[in-house]
Amino acid sequence: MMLTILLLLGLPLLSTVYTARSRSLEKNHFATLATGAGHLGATLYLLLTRQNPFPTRAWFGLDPLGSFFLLILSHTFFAVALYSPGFLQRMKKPEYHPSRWLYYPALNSYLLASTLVIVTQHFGLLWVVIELTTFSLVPLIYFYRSKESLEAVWKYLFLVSLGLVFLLIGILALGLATKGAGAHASLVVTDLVRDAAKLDPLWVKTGFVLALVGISAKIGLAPMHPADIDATSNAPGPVAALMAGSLRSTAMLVLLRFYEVACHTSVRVFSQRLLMIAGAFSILVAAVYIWRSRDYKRLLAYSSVEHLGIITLATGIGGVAMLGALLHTLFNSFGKIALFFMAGRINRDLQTRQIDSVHGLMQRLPWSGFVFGLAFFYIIGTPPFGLFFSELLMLRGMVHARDWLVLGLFLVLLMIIFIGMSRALLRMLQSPQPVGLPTGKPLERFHVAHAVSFYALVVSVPIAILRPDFLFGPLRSILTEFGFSL
Amino acid sequence: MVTFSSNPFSWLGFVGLAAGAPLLTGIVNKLKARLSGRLGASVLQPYFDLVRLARKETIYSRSSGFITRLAPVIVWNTTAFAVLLLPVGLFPGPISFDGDIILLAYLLGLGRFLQILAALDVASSFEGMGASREARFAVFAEPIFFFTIGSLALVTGRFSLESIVAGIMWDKPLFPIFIIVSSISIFFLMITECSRMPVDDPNTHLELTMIHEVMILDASGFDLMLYQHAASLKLLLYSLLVTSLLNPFGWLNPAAGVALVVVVLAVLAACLAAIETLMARFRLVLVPQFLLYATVIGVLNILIFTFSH
Amino acid sequence: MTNALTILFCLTLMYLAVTTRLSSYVLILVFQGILVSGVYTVSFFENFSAAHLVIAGAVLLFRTILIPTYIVKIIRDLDMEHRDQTRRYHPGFLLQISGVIIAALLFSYQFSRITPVLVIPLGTALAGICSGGLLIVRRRLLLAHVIGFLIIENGLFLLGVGVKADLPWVIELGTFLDLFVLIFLMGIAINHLKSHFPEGAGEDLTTLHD
Repeated sequence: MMLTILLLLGLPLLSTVYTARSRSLEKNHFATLATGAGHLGATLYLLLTRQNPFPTRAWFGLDPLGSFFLLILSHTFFAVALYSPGFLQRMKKPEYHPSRWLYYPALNSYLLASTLVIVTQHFGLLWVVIELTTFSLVPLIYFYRSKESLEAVWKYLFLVSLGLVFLLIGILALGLATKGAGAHASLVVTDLVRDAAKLDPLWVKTGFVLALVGISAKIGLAPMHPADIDATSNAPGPVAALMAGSLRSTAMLVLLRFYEVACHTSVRVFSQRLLMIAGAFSILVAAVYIWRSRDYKRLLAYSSVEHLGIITLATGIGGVAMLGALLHTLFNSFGKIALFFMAGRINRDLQTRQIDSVHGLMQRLPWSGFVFGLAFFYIIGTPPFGLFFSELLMLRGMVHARDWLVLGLFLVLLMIIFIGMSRALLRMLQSPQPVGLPTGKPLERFHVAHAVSFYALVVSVPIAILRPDFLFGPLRSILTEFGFSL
Repeated sequence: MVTFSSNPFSWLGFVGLAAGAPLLTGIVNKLKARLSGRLGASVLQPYFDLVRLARKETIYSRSSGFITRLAPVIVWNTTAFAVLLLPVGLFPGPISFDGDIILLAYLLGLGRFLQILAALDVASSFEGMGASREARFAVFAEPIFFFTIGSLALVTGRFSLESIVAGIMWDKPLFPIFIIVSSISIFFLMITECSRMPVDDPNTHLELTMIHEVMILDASGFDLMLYQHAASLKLLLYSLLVTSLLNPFGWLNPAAGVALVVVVLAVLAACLAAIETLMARFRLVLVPQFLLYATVIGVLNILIFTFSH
Repeated sequence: MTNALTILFCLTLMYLAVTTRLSSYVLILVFQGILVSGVYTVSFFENFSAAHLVIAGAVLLFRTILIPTYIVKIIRDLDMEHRDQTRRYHPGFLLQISGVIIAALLFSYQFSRITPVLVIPLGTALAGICSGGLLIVRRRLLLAHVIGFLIIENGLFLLGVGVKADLPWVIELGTFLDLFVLIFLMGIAINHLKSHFPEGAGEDLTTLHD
């Protein structure tokens, strides 16, 4: 037991300290890779054995929900760690020097902070460690040290912290909820769930609304999405993948913890409605902005908004749809890894982020173009990729709940997004090269980024089709915890 | 029902106050001089000024009308009448009735109105400028008075100035803070009404920077004496308002009460002198904010007082 | 006693509305730190324990000493002007802040009818949060944004006092540390911003948009 805790928490901590002091990028890379591998191993072990390595009723604990999201974090981190040396090798400009030294320590501290967020059971402590995740990302987003990066970092830091202020007020409101009925005034999730019947519903409602507003800035739900969009699109490829894949999921977990408490009280229906509205609004906003996008990284960031909106919407519907939502979180992270890695490579090679300036990727960068196209089909929800199956589950849930309006809206918006994304991305891939460009460019070489992205896209297929029990067992128990039955 | 006090001490008190008003002005000037490192004029200087002015000839410009002749008298009378409403120590003022706080405010307002008219009547642009500034600041200053005295009336449940003062109870725990904050508000009001720093510089000789002095720029002789005495009466009025908020005679024996009044007056004079020495005058656009600040303090005061019950 | 401290807090909020000097901003922060710590101590006077003392001391340390010192350091390093030049004279700002304070007090009074909360600290806390927000929205100077954020945090702390939330001292300390690191990072960001936007600490952060 202690070994797993060590691997989960101790290893990132050691690694942060080590990489901060070491002067060799090679050694840093190995340390990070080892950390990622150890973390992933511990996560898989805990998932397989469904154990909680922490003492029960303490401030830390690993429930099925936590171990699932831990998997998302580990997996994304490992992929980013694999890609990092290749990425850093290309960043040779002198102004990137301080960023390069900060890269690995920040990455490892992000892992530490996110793991802490996932295993924390006390709401107050949760707030403290969420701020830590924001801090650890700041040097990473600021990698390029340009005016835009600075503005993105400033807005991100400021607006996310403002959102977290709301989150803290929400936590205080939850604390107030425990006072009214003489329940033991504890902010531990399990205690709150157990005493849920005695909580004052007005304050639970207030706390939930405030928490939703606050954490939306971090998840990237509309209308709090601008800071996140700016940060994701101005960050380098692997960092954007990390943010889109794991940071938003971790923030989603925080929302789910509030939702868990709300689900056991009379506020349940209200919070479900609220989640559905928030999710639908995000998808709508994403649809509009994907159409208007001129910058493909921003487009991908809005695609993140869309998918998180889908997840929120389906969580609000509950039942089978929520199972789909949880799966969607996992598969979304896979897809974002591939998309942002490839977007990073395209940006590096063509030195532009404008959609209109990119032509004929399939000819210029065959490997990147191929994986990018594959990732595009993945994120749209084409079978046999995993996202198709998770969306299918969501549709099944909507049909079960007889929510025809939501179903119709969902399908229409997804279609609009599909058309919008195809317009941009297929044009990037297939449009003919403008005359006058040198045609004798060397062909692109196969790179670890391609391998990792390809793997991420493909691994979702067996998971979705075969439905391995080590994953689906915890998912089902999560659903029961929330009070839904399949 | 209007009550005229039957107590001879009230009327005597009024005479004493009217006579003693220039002394307060003299003390403020002396303290100001001392703080600046000068010896300064004697504290009785205002008296000498008044006597000197009384003996001089009053000159009226050819372009001024009857208002200029009428205004000084009315200004002096309204201010003196307002002082009549003030409670004097243990004794109620010579005149008191329910709602006399409103009369107090509007007597002063009437005086101000006539002063503004007189300033406009002289047909000089300097006076007109001063009149417009005075009018604007009066708009912002009026709520202060009503919010503070009004909230006091609300809290004590009485409506006549002397009974309000009598109703202030120092043993209730929340009163002290309430009173102190109200006093601060009235202090701000005093600064504005009596044209003290940082709203108006009484010693400036540049007409463009004057607010109050410029309105009486063309007055001379007996009229000027009336204006000056009215100004010192106003200063005394507001200072006494602040001291009576502390209700020294309600909870102390008379001798200690008198001592407290003297001490508070001295402290107020010292504060005025210190502020005049240490601060520069506000930009004129900032004065409404300054007054709004005092108003909001008053509003806040009453809210907090109500909600802590 | 709490009333006096909270009235003073409201007064500082209103003074915020009228002042433009950067040094007054810092002084307001210092003053608010002392007031907030005082309110905390007084409110928890009945069951006073070592933990409370630690928190009160930490509030004083962080909000009164460390953070204002750091902000002064930023101002000196960046050689900012004494006045906030980006602010045009806006008389309505005081009215807005006053309106916010009054509304917050009324709101908190209504609250207290349904839940056991301390009325005055809660009202002041809400006023502080909203005033900080107003400050952020109304001013274009980045340092004013940071100060507004700090005032929101002060209000948040008062909110904790108002709802009588007894968070464990470890968590409170963690909150303060978080705040400090946040301001530290913001300071570094402003430093970098100065080199990119040489005129007045970067008011035009408008390059990123759709």
